Amino acid sequence: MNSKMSIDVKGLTSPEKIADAGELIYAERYKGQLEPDRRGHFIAVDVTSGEGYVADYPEQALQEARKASPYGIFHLIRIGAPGTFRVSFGINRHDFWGRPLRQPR
Amino acid sequence: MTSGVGHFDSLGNPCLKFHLCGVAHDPPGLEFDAIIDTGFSGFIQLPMQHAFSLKLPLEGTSSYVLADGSGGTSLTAIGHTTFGGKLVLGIVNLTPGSQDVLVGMDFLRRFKIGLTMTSGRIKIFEEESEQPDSHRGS
Repeated sequence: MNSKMSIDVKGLTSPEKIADAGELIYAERYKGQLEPDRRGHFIAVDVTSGEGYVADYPEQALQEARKASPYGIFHLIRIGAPGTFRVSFGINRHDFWGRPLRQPR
Repeated sequence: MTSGVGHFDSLGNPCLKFHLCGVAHDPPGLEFDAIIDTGFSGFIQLPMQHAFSLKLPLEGTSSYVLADGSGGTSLTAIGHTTFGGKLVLGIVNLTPGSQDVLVGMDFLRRFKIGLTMTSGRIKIFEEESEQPDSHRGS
């Protein structure tokens, strides 16, 4: 999907910041367009360019994105879902980066 | 057709063994013993420290959501995974704060396998036909 924009990669200093940048790009540029028809599919958002790569399955989206953008940094999103993946087992309440987990959306 | 058998760990969790390969080893790579977690929608969840020994190529990030609605961020890698003699490329979530290796519903989809679980035994079956898109349910 062609949506050129410029992101300051110097600000992407943690996984959380990469994820936040990807979520922001998705909300601003892709959400309204994709959620009516592509719910449950996946988009890999290149946070360095704003480009999004949509596919039926997560590995397809990431492979397509890497092929098109060899130096990209991608945030993977499941379209229309509260998180890319659901997890039910064994994750502590606080994450590795020492920050509280995000609150429910 | 039976593809293999799983086992229960000391806590009673259903488990299977698979091999995962980054760029540090030749295929099939290192063997892992993983909990089969049908509440996990992804492919493989791996504690962060294993990414160093495997040298998994990082792709970026993804988010996860827990049953209580809270969530977090994990790093995302792609790894060559071998199970039952079959090699597939799948997404590995390097999730902080967990010491458990998990395989989820996407692992079953990619390897086209199903499970039969009884009190003392886990049988793993290959599907005979193409997987429907049923994993897309919310």
